[in-house]
Parts: sequence; C-alpha cells; structure tokens
Amino acid sequence: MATIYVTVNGKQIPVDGNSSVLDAINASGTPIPQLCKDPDMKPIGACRTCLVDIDGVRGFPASCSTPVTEGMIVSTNTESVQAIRKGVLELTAGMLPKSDKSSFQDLSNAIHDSATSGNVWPGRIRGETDSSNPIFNIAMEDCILCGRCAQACQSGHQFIGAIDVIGTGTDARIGSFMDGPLIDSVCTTCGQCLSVCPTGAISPKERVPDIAKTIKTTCPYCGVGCGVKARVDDSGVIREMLDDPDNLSSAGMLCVKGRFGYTFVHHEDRLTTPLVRKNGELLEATWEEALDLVATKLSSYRGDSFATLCSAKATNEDGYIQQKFSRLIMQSNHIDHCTRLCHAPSVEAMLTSLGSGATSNSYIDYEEAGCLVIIGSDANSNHPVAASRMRRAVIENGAKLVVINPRRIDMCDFADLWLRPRPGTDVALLNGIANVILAEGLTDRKFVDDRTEGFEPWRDLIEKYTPEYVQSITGVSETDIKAAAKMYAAPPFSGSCLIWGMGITQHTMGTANAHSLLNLAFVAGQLGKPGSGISPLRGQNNVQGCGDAGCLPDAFPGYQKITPQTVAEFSSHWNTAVLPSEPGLVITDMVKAIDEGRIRAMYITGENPLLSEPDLNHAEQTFKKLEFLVVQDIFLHETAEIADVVLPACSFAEKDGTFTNSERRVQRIRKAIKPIGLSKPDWEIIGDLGRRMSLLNDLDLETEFTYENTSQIWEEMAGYTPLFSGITYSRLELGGIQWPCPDEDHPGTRYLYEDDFPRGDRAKFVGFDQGPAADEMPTKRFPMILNTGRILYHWHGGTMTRRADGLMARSPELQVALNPKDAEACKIYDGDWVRAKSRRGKLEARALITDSMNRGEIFVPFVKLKEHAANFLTNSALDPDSRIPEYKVCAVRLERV
Amino acid sequence: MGTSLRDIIESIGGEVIEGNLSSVAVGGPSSGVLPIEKLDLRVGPGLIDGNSVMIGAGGIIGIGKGSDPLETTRNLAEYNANESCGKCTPCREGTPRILGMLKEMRSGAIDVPSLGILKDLCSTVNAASLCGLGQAAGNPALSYLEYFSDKAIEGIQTGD
Repeated sequence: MATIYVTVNGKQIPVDGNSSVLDAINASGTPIPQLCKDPDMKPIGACRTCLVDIDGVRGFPASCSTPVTEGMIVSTNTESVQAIRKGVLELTAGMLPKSDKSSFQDLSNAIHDSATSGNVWPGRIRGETDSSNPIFNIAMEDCILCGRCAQACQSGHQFIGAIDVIGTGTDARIGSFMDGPLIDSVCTTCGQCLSVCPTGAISPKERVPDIAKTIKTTCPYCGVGCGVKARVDDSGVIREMLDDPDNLSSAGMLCVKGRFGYTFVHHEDRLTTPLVRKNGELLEATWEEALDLVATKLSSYRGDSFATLCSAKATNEDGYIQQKFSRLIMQSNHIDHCTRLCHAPSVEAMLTSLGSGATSNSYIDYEEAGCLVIIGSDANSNHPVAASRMRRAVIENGAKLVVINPRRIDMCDFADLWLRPRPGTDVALLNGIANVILAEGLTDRKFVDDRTEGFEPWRDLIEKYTPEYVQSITGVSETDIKAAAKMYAAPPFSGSCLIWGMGITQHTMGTANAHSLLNLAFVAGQLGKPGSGISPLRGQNNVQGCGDAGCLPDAFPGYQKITPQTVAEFSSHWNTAVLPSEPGLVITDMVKAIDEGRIRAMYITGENPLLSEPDLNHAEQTFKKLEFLVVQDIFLHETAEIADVVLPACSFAEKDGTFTNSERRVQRIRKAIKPIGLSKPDWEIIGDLGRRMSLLNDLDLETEFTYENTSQIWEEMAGYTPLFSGITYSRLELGGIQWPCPDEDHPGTRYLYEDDFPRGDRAKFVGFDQGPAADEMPTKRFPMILNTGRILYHWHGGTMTRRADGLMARSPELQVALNPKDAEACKIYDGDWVRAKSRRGKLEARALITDSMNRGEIFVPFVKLKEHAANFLTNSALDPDSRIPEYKVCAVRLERV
Repeated sequence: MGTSLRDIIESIGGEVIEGNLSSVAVGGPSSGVLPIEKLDLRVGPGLIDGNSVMIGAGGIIGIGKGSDPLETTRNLAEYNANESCGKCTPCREGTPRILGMLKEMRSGAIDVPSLGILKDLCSTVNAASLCGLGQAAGNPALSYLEYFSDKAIEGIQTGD
C-alpha cells in the first residue's frame, strides 16, 4: 500500500498505509510501552500500555490496534495520556511479586520511562506454577496476562490451542483444557508460547545463561526447513534455539524438535576422533592415519565393487563432493541416499508423468488453498510447522480438509472428511475418487485437453472403479468417496492441494499409488496455479538437496540423466576425467549386491542403514559381508559399530553450506560453533580423501577436490546445473530462494508447471489397477497388520533425538498402539509390556490402547528405544518400479510379555 | 427525558424524600450515587451530573436514611469486579483494587491521601479499559468521592 504521513509528537513520519499507529510511533523512535504486542502477531489490545492521544478521536485509543490514516496527529506525551499510561503500568507492576523483576525488561523500562515507582500496589495472590511439562514451566507468579502465549498457540502461529486465558477477573490465568496440567493437554511442547512470553513467566526449566552471539541458520530435522537462530554462549555452547520470523518457509514457527532438540550437538557421545579397527576393535587414530588407510584400501575397490550412501542430513555441498568423489575417483555410479526408502515412488511417478521429481508448490499454497487432501501423511508429527500452516488454511480461511489415513491422526480433529481405507488399497480408493470426478462432470476439460496425454486409456481403466466397487475393496463408504471427490475437484474457493507422505510410498504398490494421485491432480486440473499443486512432503532436512546435488545412481547434479552426452559434459567440467557411463545401483539393490559379493566396499555418510533398512536382522548379516566399510557420521551408531574406519563429521551447527527444503527453497546453514573434537565437515573429509587417492592412483584430479569454502563448491555445482544457476551465496544472505532459478535476476519459483512440464507440453496419465494390498497379509499365526511411521518427539531411528533430554522426557519408551477391542482379545492393558513378532524378528514395547487404531492393525514408530525397533519386524518386499521396501504393511502377532 | 429525579421519585413514591432518603443510586453499576441535594438534576443522555452519574440501565434506587451510600457504592463496585472478564489489565487489576479500597474505607483502614489515589485509579480504569464495562467501572467510587468526600474523611478520622 502507498506511503502516508502521520505526525507523531510533532514529527512527520512516513509509513505504509497498512500500518498501525504503534508502527508509526516505533518508526519515529519514540519510546512507548507495548507489553502485549508481539512484533510478529496481530494486536491483542489487552495490556493497554500503548495508549495515545489522537486529534479528533475521543478518549485514549490503544495505538497497536488503531490503523493509521493520512494526516493523523498522534501524541504520546500529553500530560493526560501519560498519567493514564502510568496508572496502567502501576496496575501491571502490581500483578508481580516485589522480588527482582529484571527479567521483564520491557516493563522495567516502561515503568522507568513513565517515572513510576512501580510499587503503588502490593502484589496479589496468583495461580500456581504448572511444571508438568518436562522442558518449560508456566509460572503465573510472573505473568502479566498479556495473552501473547495463548495467541501464539492459537491463531498467532501454531493453531494448536493447548493454552488459553481461562477464568475471569483476577482469577484469569493461563491454563489448558478443563484446567488440567499442560502435559495432559494437546500441547506439543513446540515452545512457541515460551518464545513470545515477555516476562519469563513461561521459561525453560534450565536457565539460559548469557548469550555471546546469535547465528541464523536452518533446522537440521525435517524437510520443512525452518529458519532457526542458534544462540551461543561465551564457551561456544548452543544454549537456545529461536525461531526466525524472517524465514519464509517457517514464518516464525518451530516445533519441539527444532526448538529443543538441538542438544544432540553437544552430547558426550559425539564422535571426536577418527577410529580405525585393529584386531577387531575400533581404536582412536589420527586423521593422517585414518585417511591414508582409507585411501590405500579404497584404491583396490575402484569400479563396480564400490558403493556409497550419501546423507540427506548433510549439505548440498557435502553431497556434491561425495558423488563427485564416487564418480571421478572411485569410478562408480553406485550412489544413492535415503530417498530410496521414502519418496522414491513419488519421484519415479513424477519423473514419468511430469519430468521433475519435486514438490510442485509451496507452503503458502496450502494457506491459500480451498481444499487440502492429506493422504498417508501424519504431518502433525512429521512436518509440524507445515501442518500448522495447513491448520491455518482450515481454521482461518475455511478451507476444506480431507484426511485419508487408516489411523486416526491428530489432523483428523480438523478434517471435514476422514477416509479410512484398508491398508494397501489406496490405488482403488484414488481410482474411485477419479471415477466420481469423471462421472459427475468435475473434470477440468481444458486442462485435460490442452495439457495432458494418455487420458482416454486411463479413463477406460477408471470406469470399473465405481464407488460401490471401491467401497467393497477399501471399506470407505460410497458417500465419503463421492464427498471427497467433490471437495477436491470443486473446492469452495481457490484451488486444491494434494499432500502425501510415506503412507503412499512405502508399499509394494508405491509407484502405482503415486501415479494414482498425480492422475487426480491432472483430471481436476489442480496444478500450476496458486493454491493448488502436489506435495510429497520430504522427510529429511536436505533430502531434496541430496538428490538435486546428484547423489543418485542414474543422474548428475540437477537430475541430468546419465547419457553419453551428459557424461561427456561432466567429464569436460571435471578435468576431462574418465567417468563411469552406466547408471549405478539403488540402495535396495546395493544390499542385494553386497549379499551376492558384487559390492565389497562401501562409504556411508550420515546414514544408519542398520536401523533404517527393513528386516534388520538380515541387513546386519549383509553389511557384515563387506570387506571394507567406512562410516562418516556424528555418532557411533549401529552401522558405524561394524565399520572398519569411522570418521567424525561435523554437525549442522559446526559448518557452512546449504539445505534445500520440501518447497525447493535453498537456504544457508552457518557455522555457529567450533567443530566438536577433531570432527570436520563432510566435504573437507572427502575432499582430503579425494586428493590423497588422486595422488596415490596418479589421477591428476587433486585440483578437483581442492576448495577453500562451501561457496566455491556451490558456485561450481550451480554453474553446471541450470536448475539453480541463478542462486549464489550472496543472494542467499537475503533469504532462501526456491529453484528453478535460472539466472541471477530470477526471483525463484513458488509453484511449478504454470505453462508446461519438464517432460514437454503435456503431463501423462499413467493408470494402475489395484493389485494385492501387500506382499504379506495376516495369517492365523500372524493375524495383525503392523504399520510403521514416526512420532513427533523422535526423529527417524532416533540417533539424534535419543540424545536430546527434553525429547526423551516426552517420549522415553517405544509404544505399540492398538485398538481397545484387540487389546481385550489379547488380554493386554494400557501400559503393559508387550511383544510383537513377525516372521523376521521381534520387539518389546509398551501398549498404548487407543481407538485411533483400526481393529487388527497396530502402529509402532521406527525409532529405536531401549534396543527395540520396528524394523526388526518389517518386510523387505519391494515396489518393482522404485525399489522401495514395504515398511507400511507386514503381518505380526502381539502378546503380553 | 428532561424530568427531574425529584419529580420522578415523588410521582411514584410520594413525598417521602426529606427525612427519609440519604441518597439516590441512579442507573446501574456503571453509574453512581447522588446526594439528595442533587435531585433537581434532570434525566437526559450522557452524564447527568457532568461527573460520573448517568441514567444508564434506567434504575433509580432511593437509599434510606439508615443505609450508608458507601455500602451502596461498594455493592456496585463489587459487581464490576466480579463481572470483569479479565482480558485487559486496567479493568481486571483495577476493579478489585477499587473494591478493596472501598472496603478499607468501611473499616477505616485508609488514610486521607489514599482518597486521591482511589480517584486516580478510577480515572485510569475508566480511561484505559478495553470495553464498556471497564470504561464505566470507576463511576460508583468517583461519584462517592465527589459527593460524599466529607463523610468519607469524617469516617476515616473517627474510624467509623
């Protein structure tokens, strides 16, 4: 909006026309108390300390909630308004005990400025402290009831609604539902309340010491890619993690892992020195010794007997160097990363139908959408901040929400419609929804005619998936199938977004599932416009970037497929080195090749396959067959324990680089602390190794592994990768940029496919029939279906989160969720220790009896707690197209311990 | 509108004013108490005494000779303190403090300078509160201080 002028205490101030009077006062530099106004949330208007005089306006309006008008004359310093503000500040001070309140600097300053002693009124009796949360307390003693915390928990940020101001008058207090303890509420311990509390009434149980510096960086947990500010003390220890309101992906929010899960960085278990196996034992070694050994050993495995796993937790630069090392030095394209175990089917399907494997839209599109369909994704647990933005769409804008999930996930609380298909019947369900769209005239004819191909054969295939037929396969009622189709294809406003997770992909029909979703987007034309799109929510902080950087067996950086032409191009980029010309093996096939003795040496960075592979007992036997295994990581995890050499890497907090999040936003991470022990950034370690091996094998490629900093690596990669050739470190200083970004003047891309598709003008319908629901179905001996996934308080296998005390306090034990009727049949009571067995292994966990589970189905998160992990049970059956294992369905039985 | 309080009271209650009434509470808890010397004020929009009393909810309550207008004032203030929703600071924190001071006046546990503090407090609550309840919650005490301050000081001094 246009700039207008307002007069503040006689001084003309130019402000944006959308500003509040308080904004104008702040812009003028005039001090005024503003206790309940959070800079990043809407005004509450409750503290009444920012009252002003405005010419022509009766009384003393609160400047925070008064919009500016052209020519407005505002005074903060008339005698009468000063007296009123002083009176309010005295009343506010009277809420607090008379002890030292230096923590509340705003009030202290305000009282000082208004020449008030602050001691006019004796302190009054306040509510008790709620100390039920393991990480922070809510102490009413120090609360001025400004309401910021409740706002942050609700419409200000998170849309969770765990806390509110309850009671009236002087009995008003911050509390949760039914006045119970916070820990029993829907609170997720995201700490947004704590971050906005101006008085310290909500404060961490452990006091934050003096902070020496604050470093802006990016959260290391999930693919949402939240901006964080690491606060570091004098001794170089991170003491606090703050949200970053300037970050466009997270918009000032963080979840419990992002805000409180950083303590793994300083955990005593961190690897601090290289380890080399001697006489069967891993012993400390120098970098020289360890790298010389690795260089010598790996020199005899150059070629097809070598494979490498890159890390979706490491940076783009780390990944780029690692794939370059494998191709140039090791002459092997056996390069892969964990995407094979999560979104490979999505990528496979999107590459076939669209030509690009990325999320097409942005989180802002969720907020603007008229309908969100969330299928096979527990976003509240796995992408908490993106989930908050989805809830904003539903609560604030009235978007329709369709949840499709066999479990009653928390998002169901906000849903207009919850469909509960039988596990493994997604293709039928999605085909059924398509059938309704076609039958009820909801097809976007123009989109289909102008921008797709393969429509007719697909339509013919869909014909038999009538709602009636689909109900018989999926168990979802005809009515619900029809309602879902209408909501998706005809949203009440804007467009519709399809959002999915591992519930779609981790099946033997994973690629078919993903194609069925894409077909829906095509037939409804919900692609390539604001508020629409397709979102496979990415799990790891940099799983998008790891693929972008070329950590794939069949493509160079930027998804440039391995062809004679690209091989020649990259060879010329990389000092005319000889490059392997055949695509390599994917991770699941690497495992097979190890078994068969074809792969004999591996270099694994920031991955722990002995916890993340299915059928762990078998996986361990397999990896032990390797003749030489190098593991580079921050902890001595299960895979590192069987390695020949372990190299200590830096965590995200100790290095520079970039992560690319789920909405394709490339964001900086920055070195906040010194490396722990002798650890080094991945790119430095592999660069050093590359130079050593080049010399040892007379390859003349030392210069190809010599970099001064990560900016140089990025520059090289971007130079060869049209997708992000316009992104530079200096541009990233101003904030993240979403690829494609072809040149330096390009602003980045919010959503893809506005005009065409990377594969050409037309997207391709690829139809699939419903196949067998799963590789392994219940039998008499194993009568139940095990579903696996994640929980909010743990990250994947738990290597990081098990080392964060706050998260462990919220979730110390493995739980197996089961339906009350099943519990009754198995004579299991809530909290009992139970044993789950499959054909491959067993685990023990505590029973969590909940009607969120369907009968005959149990859920176990795949975090390893107290030596028990779901992947001892899971099945290694693969989706034929993408080679992803079927983590989501296997047959088990349950018994009391 | 335009009729005096005296006319209204006498036309309904007969000539009972002199000797029988100590004061008259006009309006509801957002208004205040008038001494009988003010009964010639006419009913109209806004503050009819230019100070703190309005017709508000329309009630006119005669307070008998045997009753203390301070008790009536305290009653009205108590209503406001109880009804405060608690959202904004001046009303939530101010209304119970007004009530507390009126109670202290009853028991004589207050000094004369505190009457000035009470007056400022009422003005703050009226001027700074967010909604209509708080914006008039200081009126009962303000009216008492305006019209019965002699009585208040006398009460403080005798401890009555």
